[in-house]
Amino acid sequence: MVVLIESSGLGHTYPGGVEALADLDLSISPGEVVCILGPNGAGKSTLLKALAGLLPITAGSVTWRGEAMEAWAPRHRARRLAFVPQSLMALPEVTVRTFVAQGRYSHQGVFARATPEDRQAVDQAMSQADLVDLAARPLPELSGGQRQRCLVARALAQQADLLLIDEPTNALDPEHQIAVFELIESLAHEERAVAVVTHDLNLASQFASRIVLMDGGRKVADGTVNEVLQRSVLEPVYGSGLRYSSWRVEEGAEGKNGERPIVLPWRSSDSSALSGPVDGGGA
Amino acid sequence: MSVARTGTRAGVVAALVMGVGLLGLVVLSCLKGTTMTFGTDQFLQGLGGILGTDTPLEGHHQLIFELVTCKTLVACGVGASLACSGALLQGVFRNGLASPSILGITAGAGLGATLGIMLVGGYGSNVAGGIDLLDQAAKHSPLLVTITGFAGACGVALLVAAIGGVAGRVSVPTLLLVGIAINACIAGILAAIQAWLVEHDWQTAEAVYHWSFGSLKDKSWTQVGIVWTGAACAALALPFVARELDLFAAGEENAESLGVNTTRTKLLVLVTASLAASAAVAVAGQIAFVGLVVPHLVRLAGFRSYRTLLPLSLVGGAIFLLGADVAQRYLMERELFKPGVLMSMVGGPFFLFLLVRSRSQVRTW
Repeated sequence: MVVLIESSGLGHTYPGGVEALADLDLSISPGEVVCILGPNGAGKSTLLKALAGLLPITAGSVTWRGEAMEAWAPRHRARRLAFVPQSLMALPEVTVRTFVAQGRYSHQGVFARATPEDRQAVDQAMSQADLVDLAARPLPELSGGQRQRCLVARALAQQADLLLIDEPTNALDPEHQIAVFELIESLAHEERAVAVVTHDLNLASQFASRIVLMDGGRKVADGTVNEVLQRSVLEPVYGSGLRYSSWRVEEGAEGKNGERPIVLPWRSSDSSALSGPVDGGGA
Repeated sequence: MSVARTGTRAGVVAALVMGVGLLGLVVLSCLKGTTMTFGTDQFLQGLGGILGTDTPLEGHHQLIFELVTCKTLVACGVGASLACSGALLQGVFRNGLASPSILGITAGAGLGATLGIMLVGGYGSNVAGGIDLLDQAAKHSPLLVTITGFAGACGVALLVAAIGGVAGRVSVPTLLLVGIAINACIAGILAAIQAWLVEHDWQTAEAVYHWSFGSLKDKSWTQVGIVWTGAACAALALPFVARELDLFAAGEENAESLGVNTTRTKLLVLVTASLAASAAVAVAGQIAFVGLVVPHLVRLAGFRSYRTLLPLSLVGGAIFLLGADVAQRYLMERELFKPGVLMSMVGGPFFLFLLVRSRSQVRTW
């Protein structure tokens, strides 16, 4: 099986001595949507940034198709993996199209003007992210969901084989959360993989092809949705404040069938069982 | 809301219009010296005299014409250097209130120039007191002061970079704090020197006092060369940092994730901005607010992309400083205000306006 990126014993320690990542082995292959889960401070975003080359690696190594990445120039790296942050420090006062076109930076030289290939890549990215109608709109005027789609579109314009997406559904309503994850799911194909950090266990349940669970900077589980989203795996990480159930996915529904786990945060003082279409597992 | 004009066509048109305007200002400036006015025939002959294609103007007229020309070219170079330096620093600091003085460059030049002026005993040549080297230096005191000012500015820029940089990486917030601290230190040293000079050497104290207001007068071709070398350094760096600074606008991590070599960009910006500002301040003294105001005027015209903002700031800075000086000469018939004073009178209120405006314009994702 072809492996795009592989980390071995990966570690990152901040200058103050805080160990944010430790001894982390991970590999991602084309076609996968890998959801990275874990409580706050588990090291999920640090992992994405370390893989993206935005944080120095203090232990272990990362390889791309078997090649060491440490000496890669930023441009070279950005043509292979694209990082989508949770948010930007400031909103650039540019149109959506100009913003998406920034993704072409790594493909252009110092004096280069946009080539037909650049324009085609931007058109395609905007079309995939359903932004064509918003092309001339100023970025600061868009809603949160539209901005997330812009960030994903800009990463798509990079034409990278691996997208590293950090909490894309933060502060989005359910409709936009689904829309963003449907977009993410559609991006993984035979050449490309997506790694997504999220806190939403149920979106991960629906869209992930694999789940990596982290805690305290270490990987504690790595497997299919059904292997990871179960009480014995999650309770040591998240505590006992979750209810477990499942949902039967109709055969043929987007090629999936069988049981999908549902995990809900639940108030600890309420010990009543779940009812209705959700088959209660009880706390 | 309006968005940045990122297209180069509008920028090229604006640059052409501004270039023609600057050329007109240069001619107007060369036609009117402080003590005499030249006609267009004399202007062309004087220009030919400088270039060696015509006989020079008669008597001291050629000398005066060359002084006016040097003043004009120094004003253009200083305005362009300060404005471009300000725009570059605003880009790398991601802060519209940054300017060359924030890194301590202006203060460093002030300290260097003060020491240079003390060395030769003011702008006069009577205090060198029998020491051959100082006697020689005193005869060239304006150039010596320029060199010591430049050395002071570059020295402080290097010091800020050495303290603010960690293991070859440049931390922008740390640089900002180091710049503020060094500014405070130098201000204290300068105040102590000036207090001592007022009591012990009034002539030198007066020279330091005049230098601090900035001056475009009595400049030599060497000083023109120093200023324009600084401006050329900044201009040559623009294609290598303009697109990068556009990506910096949404954060350094954002730029790096898109493929920008952020360390190289920061170093290139800091070195060229420091060189340009150092050369300008060393030659013309402390001229405040050009580096702050001009980039904002260009932004107000809608050119917010650094691909257009940087070159337009370069031309705009030259227009701003030369225009103010020419207006003063034509309207008041004499140089009533030193350029530093004039710029502070315009720049101070504008700076306050920016502060008030920025309070209501803070946007985050």
